[in-house]
Amino acid sequence: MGDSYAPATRYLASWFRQLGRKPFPFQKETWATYLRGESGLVHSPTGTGKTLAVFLGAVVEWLAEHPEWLKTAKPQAELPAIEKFKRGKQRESRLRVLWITPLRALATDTEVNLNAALRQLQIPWLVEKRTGDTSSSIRQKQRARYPEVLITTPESLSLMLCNEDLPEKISDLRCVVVDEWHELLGNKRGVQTELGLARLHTLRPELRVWGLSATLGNLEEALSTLLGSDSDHPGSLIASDLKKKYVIESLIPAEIERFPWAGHLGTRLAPEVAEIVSAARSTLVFTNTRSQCEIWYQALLKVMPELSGRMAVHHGSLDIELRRWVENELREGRMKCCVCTSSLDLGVDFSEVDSVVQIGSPKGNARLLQRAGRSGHQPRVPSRITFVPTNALELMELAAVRDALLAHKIESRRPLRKPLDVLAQHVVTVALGGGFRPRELFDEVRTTAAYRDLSELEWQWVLDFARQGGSSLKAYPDFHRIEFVEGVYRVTNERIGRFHRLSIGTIVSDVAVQVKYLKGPKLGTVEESFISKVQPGENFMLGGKLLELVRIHDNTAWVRRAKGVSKAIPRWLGGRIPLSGELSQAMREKLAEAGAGKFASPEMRSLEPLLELQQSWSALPNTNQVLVERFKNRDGHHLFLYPFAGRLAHEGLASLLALRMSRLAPITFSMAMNDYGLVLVSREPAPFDEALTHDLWNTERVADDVLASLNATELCKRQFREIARVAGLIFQGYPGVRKTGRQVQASSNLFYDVFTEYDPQNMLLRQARREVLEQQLEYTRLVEALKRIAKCELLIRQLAKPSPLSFPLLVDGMRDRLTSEKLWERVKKMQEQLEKAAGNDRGLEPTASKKLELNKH
Amino acid sequence: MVDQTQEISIRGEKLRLLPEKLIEWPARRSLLVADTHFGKAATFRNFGIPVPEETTHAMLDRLSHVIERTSAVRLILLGDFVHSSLKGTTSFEPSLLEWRAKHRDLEIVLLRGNHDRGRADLFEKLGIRVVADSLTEAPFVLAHDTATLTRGVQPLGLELHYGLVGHIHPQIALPEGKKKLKLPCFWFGSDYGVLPAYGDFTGCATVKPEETDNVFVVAEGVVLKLDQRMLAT
Repeated sequence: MGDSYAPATRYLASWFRQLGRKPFPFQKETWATYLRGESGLVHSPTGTGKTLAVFLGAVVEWLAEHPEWLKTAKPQAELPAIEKFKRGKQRESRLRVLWITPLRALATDTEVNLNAALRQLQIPWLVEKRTGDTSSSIRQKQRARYPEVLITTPESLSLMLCNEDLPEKISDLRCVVVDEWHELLGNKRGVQTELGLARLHTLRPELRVWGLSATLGNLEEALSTLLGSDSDHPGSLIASDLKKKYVIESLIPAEIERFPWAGHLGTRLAPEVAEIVSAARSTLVFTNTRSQCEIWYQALLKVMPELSGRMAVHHGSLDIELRRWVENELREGRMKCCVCTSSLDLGVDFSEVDSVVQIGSPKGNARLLQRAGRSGHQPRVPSRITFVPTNALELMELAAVRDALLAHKIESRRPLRKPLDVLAQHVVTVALGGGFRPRELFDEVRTTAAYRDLSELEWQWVLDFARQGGSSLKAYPDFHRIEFVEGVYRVTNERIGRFHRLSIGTIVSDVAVQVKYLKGPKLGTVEESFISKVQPGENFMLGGKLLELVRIHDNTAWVRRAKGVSKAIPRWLGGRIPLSGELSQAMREKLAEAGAGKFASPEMRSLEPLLELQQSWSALPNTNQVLVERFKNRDGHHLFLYPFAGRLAHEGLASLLALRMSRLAPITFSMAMNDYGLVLVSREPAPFDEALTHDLWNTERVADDVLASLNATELCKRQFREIARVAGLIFQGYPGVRKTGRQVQASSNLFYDVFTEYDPQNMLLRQARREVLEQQLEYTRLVEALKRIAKCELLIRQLAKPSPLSFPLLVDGMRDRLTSEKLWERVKKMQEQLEKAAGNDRGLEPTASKKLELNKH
Repeated sequence: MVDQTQEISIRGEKLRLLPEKLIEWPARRSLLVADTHFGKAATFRNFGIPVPEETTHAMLDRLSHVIERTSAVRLILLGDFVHSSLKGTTSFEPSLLEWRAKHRDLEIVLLRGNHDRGRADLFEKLGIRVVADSLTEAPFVLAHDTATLTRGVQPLGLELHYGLVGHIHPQIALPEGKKKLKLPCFWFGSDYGVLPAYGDFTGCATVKPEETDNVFVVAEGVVLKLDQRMLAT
C-alpha cells in the first residue's frame, strides 16, 4: 500500500491487536486491492471475515483522508469525542459506501455488524438502512443528510435511481458492495443490480464494485457479471484463505430396503437425529420442503419433549415476527435445535451452532457446503454436517456429493440473459431519474453482462413498449409511460411516476402478505414467494394450524380452518430443485463403480445388496451406457429410461419421447419422473425399438416438440406471472391508494390472453416461452441429455420384476391414482413380494404401522 | 352443424343463451348483455399499463354480428357498460360512436351499474336510455346487481318476477387433475339468474352454485349445460 495509507493501516493493526486478533491474509489482500482503486469479488464458503475484508478498506481510505481525526482517535475510546466530531461534520457528510444485500433481514444484521466495528474503531460514520421497511420520515432525513454507509436492497437501489438529485447525493460515493452476490446472480434481481451498477458507473466512473460470494463453480463469470465490461481493470478474485475442515457423514439405517421409494424412510431416523442434537450445543436441521420441516419438528419433539421451548421451526410460511424471534434465540445461543428450510441458508453466522443435519438430498454440493458452513465458527472447529437419507438411493447421492467435492466440482449459477421485462422497468426508472438519451442508455445497458447481446430491434421494442405500449403506434392510444421531449426520454405524468415507484417496491420476493381468517383475526404474515404458489382451495400449515387458502386479494391471504385432515401426501419429493448437473454426473460414476464391484464409502457399502440386486435382475450401466428397462404388470407396459439429468429435464424428455413415439402408433402414455429417470406407461407396448430407428434422440425441433407435448400455454402463463409484475403490468394495490387501484386490478392471465390475441408480437410473450424452456424445463440439460444418450450404448433389459432403480418411479406413477393409505398398503405388499423373490424371506419391520401414523398429516 | 346455443324456459318465457355471452329474448326481439366494461383498456393505459385497444373493436364487432344474426331491435345492457369515468380515458369513445351509427335504429337501454357514473354525456351522444334502478318486464325484473333488483320494485315483486342481473362476472371452476379449468357461465338460481361478463378484459369470480341451480358454461364457442357432478373432486 502507498505511504499515505500507512498511518491508517497502523491504526487498524492496533485495533486488531487490542482485540487479540490478527487480520487474515485475504483481508489484507482485499484492502490493498481496494486502496489501489480496483474492484473484485471475495469468495468463501462461510461468512467469516468477508464483510470486514471489504469494509475496512473503505475505512482506511477515509482515515487517510482525515489525518486530523486519526491523530486524536484511539480504538475503543470514549464516546463524547465521536459525537462532537459527528455534529461538527454534519453538513459535509456524503455517501461513501453503498451496501447492497438481497434480504431485508440481512440488512439489519449487516447494520449491526458494521456499527459494532465503527464504534470500536471510533469512526464517526453513520450507517443506515434503506429498504422497503424504512419509514418515510427516516427516508426524508436520509435525503437531507445521507449517511456514510447506506445498506439497501436491489429494489431500493432502483428506487434511488428514480430521483433526479441522485448524482449530487453520490458525488463522493467510493464503493458499492454487493453482498451474497451468488444469491442474486442467477435471477432477475441480479440483473436489476447489474443495471443499477451500470448507471452508477456512468455517474461515478471511478466507482469500485466489490462482491461478496459463496463458493461457486463459475467464479470468473460471477466477477465479470458483477463488473460489466466498462471498467478498466478486470477485477480481482480473492479467496478467503480460512482453511475450513468439513466432516460429512451420514446416518445409515440398520435396515436398507432394496426397493426404495421417495419418502420411504420417513422420520424413522428421528431417534438417531435426536442423539446428534443432544450431543451438540446448537443444531440446525435442514429439510427440503416446509411440510417436511413441520413433520420433523413434531417427530423430534416427540423423542425429546424436554426440549420444548428450546427447539423451533423456521420457514417461509411462518409469521415474520416469529422467525425474527427464532433467529435471535439462535444468535444468543439459547436455541438447542432449529428445524428449517432454505430460509436459513443466508444470513449472519450463528456462532453457537456447531452441528448441521441435512434431511434428504441437498441436490447440490454448493448447497451442502453452504449449509455445513453454518456450523463450526469457533477457530479450529470443523464444519460438521450429518446427512439423513429419506430413501436408500439418497445414500448414493451423498457418496456422489463427497466425490464431487473432492474433485472441486461446485455448481455454477448462470446469470440470466437479457430479460426484457427488467429492462422495460429500468427504462422508466432512468426516465424518471433525470431522463436519458436513447443512444447513450443503449450503450450503457450493453456494458452489463445481461444485455451484452441486446439487439437494436429488442432495444427499440423496449422503448416502444414504454412509450406507446408496443410496436404499433395505434394499438395503445393514450398510453405512454415515458415521452420523448427534445431528444430526451422522460416521465412527464406525475401519477405514472408515483405508480412506477410503488410497483418497483413490490417486486421484492419477501414482501409480507398478511394471513387473515375470512371471519376472524389476523394469523400472521408470510412471504409472498410462498403464498403465491398455493392455489385457492389448497391447504397449508401456519404455526401448527392447517388452513385452507380462500383467495389472495390486496396483499392479504384470506383463509379458513381446513376441514378434516389434509388428504395431500406429504411432499417428500424434494421440492422443485432438481439434482444438479455435477451431482448427476457423479451419480452415474458411482453406478459404474458399483458395476465394477467397487464400493468405496460406508454409504456405498450399505447399498451393496440393493445394487447387486439391480445388477442381477437388470444391469448397472457404466458411464458410456444408458439403461432402459421394460416391464409389464396389471397397470400396463412400462418403459423406464435413466438419463440422470434431473427431474425437470426428465419432465420435458418424457413428454418429448411420448410425443415422438405416438407419431409412430396411436398410443397414449402416462408418465412419472424423478431425478434419476423417467417411466412411460401404456396399455400397449411402446414402439421404442421402432422409434430408435426413427432418430428418437434427435435434437432439432426439440423446443417446439417439447412445448407442443406439454401444456405449453399453462406453463407460459405461469411464467408470465412474474414477467407481468416486473414489467409493471400488475398493479399490486397499496393501502391508501386502494380506491384508484381497484380499477386497474387484473390478473396476469388476462394480459397473457389479451396479448396472445391482439398483440402476438409482444416480446414479453416470447420471453415467457424462453423462460419456460430455460427455467421450468431446464432445456439446456434436456438437449445435453439427448446428445449424450445418442452417443451411448443402450442397455435394454426386459424385466420379470421391477428393479430397485425402477421401484421409486413405479410408486410415483401410482400416487395420483391412490389415496395415501391405499398407496402405502399396495407398496408394502409389492415390497414384501419382491423381497421374497430376491431371496431374503424378511417381510417388513413391525414398525410399519407406526410409520403410517407419521405419514398422515 | 352443432347448435352452439342453449334454449331455456323461465316462467314460461323462452330464452336463448348465446356463446357470445348474451341472452336472446325472442319474444321481445331483445338482447341482454352484462358487464361490457368498455373503456377498461383505456383506463389501464391511463395508469401507464399497456392494454391494446383492439379489444374494444373485437367486442363491438361481435355485438354487431349477434344483432344482425338475431335481428334484434333492442339491446338491454345490465350495467357496467363502461369501466370508469376518469378524465383522459376517452380513446374508446370514437369506436362506440362509429358502432352506434351502424345500428341507428337499435333501442339501447342501460340498467346503471356501479361503474357507470359520470358518463352521462357519452350516453346521451349514444342515445342510450339510462335506468337508475331496476326495470320490470314480466316475467322478468332486470338490474345490474341483486341489491338494485329489490329497489323500486313492489315488496312482493320478486315472487312474481324472475330477476336477471350481471355484476358478479361468474365463472365455474372444474377440477382437471390437480388444477381447475375455469369457464365463464350463465348461473340461474331459483329467484334470479346472473349473466357472464361480456368484456374481453374483465376478470371473473368463481361461484359455487347450489345443487338445484342451473348452470351453463361457455367454452370454445359453445354453451353447455353443466352437470353438477363434474364439480365434485
